[in-house]
Amino acid sequence: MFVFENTSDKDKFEYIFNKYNKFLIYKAYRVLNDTSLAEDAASEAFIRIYKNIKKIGDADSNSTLCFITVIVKNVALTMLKKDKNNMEDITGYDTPSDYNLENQVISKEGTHKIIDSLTEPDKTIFLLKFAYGMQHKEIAKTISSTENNVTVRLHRIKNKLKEIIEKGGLANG
Amino acid sequence: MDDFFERMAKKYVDEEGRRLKEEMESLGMEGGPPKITPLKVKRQLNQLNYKKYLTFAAPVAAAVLILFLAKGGPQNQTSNSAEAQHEIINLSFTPPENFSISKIMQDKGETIYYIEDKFEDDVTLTVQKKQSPLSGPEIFGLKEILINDKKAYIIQKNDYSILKFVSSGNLYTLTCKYQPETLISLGGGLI
Repeated sequence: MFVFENTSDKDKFEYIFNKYNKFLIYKAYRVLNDTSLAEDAASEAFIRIYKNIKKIGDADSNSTLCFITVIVKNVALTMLKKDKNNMEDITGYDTPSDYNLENQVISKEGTHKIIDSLTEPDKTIFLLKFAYGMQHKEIAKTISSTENNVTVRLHRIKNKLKEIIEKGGLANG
Repeated sequence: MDDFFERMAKKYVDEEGRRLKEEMESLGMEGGPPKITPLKVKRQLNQLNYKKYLTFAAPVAAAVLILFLAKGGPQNQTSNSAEAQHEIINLSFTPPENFSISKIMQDKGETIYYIEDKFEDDVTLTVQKKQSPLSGPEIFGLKEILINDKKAYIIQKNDYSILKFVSSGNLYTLTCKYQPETLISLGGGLI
């Protein structure tokens, strides 16, 4: 049930719905190649957006559009059952050595290339965590996963990104 | 390290959002009311005491059209004395929780029920006596479906949806403004 704490959230949700609904259906269709399924995916995405309405600031911002697109793509991919449950044991995973990433400056293109190297499900988790500041529990709810799974996957994602950056190539000082 | 990832992620979503906006504009999807409202979202939105914007107009218009066509036009009028003999056909079911009967009218051999849906996809139901199954022109253009393993016929138009079926010696015709699922939900209790 949609129950908003205040009219501001309600107005924001309605605004987002009216502005981006068609686009989200389109995005879901690009994944699912089926109009009916794409509408279902958009519908589900809006329910998840509703649940995270507090995380959304300016409804017109680039960040918001990216957020809702990430959500709908995640839903669509889940519907395609491409979102495999990565619950493998992380024991023995080759953890990179300490590396001073703080000093790294990565170009806009480099940033895109690095993050786009992740699978869509991993990219979703990474962005929800670091761009939108969501807690693991919140991410788990948003992508219909478990908190433990999110934690494990985030660990692996971070290590993977560190490896990519350490290997250089994408760094641009 | 997390600060680094945070900066990286925020840079990414800003750039990706800008690219998505360009894509939206190139597709002509910037703003404007959606043509299709996903049922689940629409129904939940409608529960928020949003301004009531739907009326009975479309379902009623559809019902009137159906009644007119079913009678074969104006030449098939019955007399006032015959009309007086018609009695309301009672419904032998309890509407699902979200539905409530708001008005009942009798038009010659047909009983018209106005059923309010709390999700604001109100339904007009007409009931008339009919023993034979639907066939030929009665179901022209309608899609056959099964409800509770019984045949029913449905169509979704731009302005309304129609569901028809014969059950227990009655012809049930349901119309609503939006989703055929509303009709199927209600029809499931009648068929």
